[in-house]
Amino acid sequence: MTRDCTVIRYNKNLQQTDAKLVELLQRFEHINLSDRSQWANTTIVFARHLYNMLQLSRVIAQGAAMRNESRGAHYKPEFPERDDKNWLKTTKASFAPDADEPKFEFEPVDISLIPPRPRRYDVTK
Amino acid sequence: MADNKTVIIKIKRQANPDSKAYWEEFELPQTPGRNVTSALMEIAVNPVTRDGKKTTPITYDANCLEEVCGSCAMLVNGKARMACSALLEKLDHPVKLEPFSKFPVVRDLAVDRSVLFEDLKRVKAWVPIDGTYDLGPGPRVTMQEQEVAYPLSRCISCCCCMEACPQFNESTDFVGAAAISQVRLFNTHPTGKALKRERLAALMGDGGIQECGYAQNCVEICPKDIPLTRSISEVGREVMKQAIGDLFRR
Ligand code: SF4
Ligand code: SF4
Ligand code: FES
Repeated sequence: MTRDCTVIRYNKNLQQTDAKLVELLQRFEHINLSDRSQWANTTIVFARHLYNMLQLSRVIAQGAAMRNESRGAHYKPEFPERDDKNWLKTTKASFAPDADEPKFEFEPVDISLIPPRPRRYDVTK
Repeated sequence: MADNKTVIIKIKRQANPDSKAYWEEFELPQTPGRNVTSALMEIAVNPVTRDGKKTTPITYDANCLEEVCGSCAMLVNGKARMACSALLEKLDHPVKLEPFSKFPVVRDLAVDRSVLFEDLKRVKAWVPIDGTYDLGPGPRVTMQEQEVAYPLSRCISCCCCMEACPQFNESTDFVGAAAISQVRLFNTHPTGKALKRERLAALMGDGGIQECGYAQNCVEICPKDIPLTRSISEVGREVMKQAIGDLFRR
């Protein structure tokens, strides 16, 4: 995640990351607990967090892979420009229990009051 | 720091509030910049003691890992401090970790510090607005007032000051420096002032501010450098004033 899902993102690496996450989620099915006691057991808390973290990581990796543009702090060298025509939208993810994976929707951004303009630092607006 | 490439950590453990405490020793590879909390995480990865015995991960509290949440307080080499800001390379070795001694142990290094929460309730450490009607814009706080209030507001409720205080024990029921300092904070707040009398009254009598012996351990140990003894003397004066006033009012 730290290598492939932060500022600079390549689609190929994002797909590999997601595949790795699927593998880790399968391994999670057989997770062992080093503490089996009944009282103040922090290992089980951590294990539960881990599952959630893996699912959320998939949201990040897949969400990033879908968006073929560079926006804000996120830079895809393969798509260096911001693409308002296709991607001026909020990515919304929810968990689909039946498929055991994230489900995505996109909501357009309300630009009725201020039309977006390119973010440029070399000229004054 | 020891010359060899490992660090030895001795941890006082206890399975539950009623069981007996015992010590376990762990040996970890030396890593630059590692703090006590991250050493505990490393032990959890492979919980094996120094003499090769399999054991359970250590139970401890931690949250923010940047000395702002106040949850990871413990005795590190006998001194009350935050585990997340205690760097192994700056400590004497072997490193000794123990739970706070004046608070009930939950398990291992985790203790129950709800007494501070009760103390804060006892002195009404809040600004009384119940949100049932619109009070309009709040009163202005001058720059000078802010400069006094801000350091006080940095308290992270870690309880280090109480652990270190010679007067904080079961026989005194002393509220402790943190709660007294919060009284000063909320009594100087323009809206918080409304409860000033009640707060000062709560600090009178047994367990109140009079228990303080002015040993100054609290101000020495506070990880957030809160001017606790200054707070104690200011609030002490106010409590005295109010007590004398009450005497004549009768
Ligand atoms: S000055 Fe001493 S006795 Fe008073 S609260 Fe601080 S440590 Fe405790
Ligand atoms: S006053 Fe200092 S030592 Fe005491 S609880 Fe607050 S931050 Fe911790
Ligand atoms: S983890 Fe928050 S203060 Fe140490």
